[in-house]
Amino acid sequence: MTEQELDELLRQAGPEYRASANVPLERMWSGIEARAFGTAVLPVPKPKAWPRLLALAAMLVLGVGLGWSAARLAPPPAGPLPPAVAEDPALLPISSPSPSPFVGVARDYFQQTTGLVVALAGDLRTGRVWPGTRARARELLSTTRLLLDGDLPDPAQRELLEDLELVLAQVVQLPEARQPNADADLIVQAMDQRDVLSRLAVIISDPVTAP
Amino acid sequence: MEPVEERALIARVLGGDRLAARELYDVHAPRVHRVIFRLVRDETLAEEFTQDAFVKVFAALGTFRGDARLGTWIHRIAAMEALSGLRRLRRRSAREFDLDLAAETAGSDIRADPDLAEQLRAAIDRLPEVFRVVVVLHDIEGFTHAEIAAMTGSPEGTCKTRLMNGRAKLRQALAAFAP
Repeated sequence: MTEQELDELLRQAGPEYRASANVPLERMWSGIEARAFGTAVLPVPKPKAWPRLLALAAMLVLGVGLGWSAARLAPPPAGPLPPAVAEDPALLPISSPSPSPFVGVARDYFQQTTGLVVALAGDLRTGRVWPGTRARARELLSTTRLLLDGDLPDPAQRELLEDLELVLAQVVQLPEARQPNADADLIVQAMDQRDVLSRLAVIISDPVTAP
Repeated sequence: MEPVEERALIARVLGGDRLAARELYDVHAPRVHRVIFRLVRDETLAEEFTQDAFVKVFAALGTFRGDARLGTWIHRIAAMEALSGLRRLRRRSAREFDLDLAAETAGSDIRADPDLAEQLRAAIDRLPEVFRVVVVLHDIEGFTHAEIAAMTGSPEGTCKTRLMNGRAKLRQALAAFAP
């Protein structure tokens, strides 16, 4: 099928794609009006996400720090590794070469993204985001998209990357001289709803992708 | 709606005019619902996410700076709401979602059904999400790359690449039906 044939097909049949005959305008409005303007139902105060996010960020920093300390303090192996250990990539010393170039890129990426997200969780609370955050987020966003456009074998990593893409895209769009507003709230909400910090902690504790 | 009319309408909504809020909703809700439905492919979810999107629109309307058209801004919030909602649900019940999707697409084998519209629907539904979103927004809904970039937070170049890849996959899937 050529581009022109596809264009023609989309022109003819595209409008029928998932065309919903019924748009429940009145029913939706009732719900929106009640929630947005508090006519029928009192708005339920949502619990602040800050405390949980900051606690997770602190745990993540502590976990990474302990991991690094343990790696530095661990004595080097006294002799050659037994064959079974040497063949298992999960049991190799952390200085071993990565099993593939992707793992190396992904490891660095997750490490750097964790740093940005942990710092951001604290910055957003105060409403004063570090000036280089947007530029850093833009760089990481590019890497996110490169990784997403590649063939990721692990669906959990793909889902985390998709969520990080949304979070980083929102960070990139934060205006300068940030004050707490709806944009910052949306980022906090996105990080909280998607358990970004918890899932990053799982990824960087993975023996294959961990630093 | 002209930008001047938009600004006047926004000012009335921010001033607490409930009729103006309903007017803004009436202008944008049908297309927002249609776009969300095409992204999430479920009427109940489309209704839920449309409501969530408009609640956020009204909550954040005071921060709308007018850099883009109001419709683009609203669709950006709606697209974010739909996509993040979908991912949230997929994580919560990954297995069930996959089974539902498999059951849905299993009954629409491209080679078994000669109806081209149905084949197109099945082929679009089978696209990976990153490609499907751009194909739906660009080729079905007619948004420009600049608008899609604003809605999804992706650069225009990324949108174009994803559209090209998505269309290549569609052509491949529909090759048997070329005239």
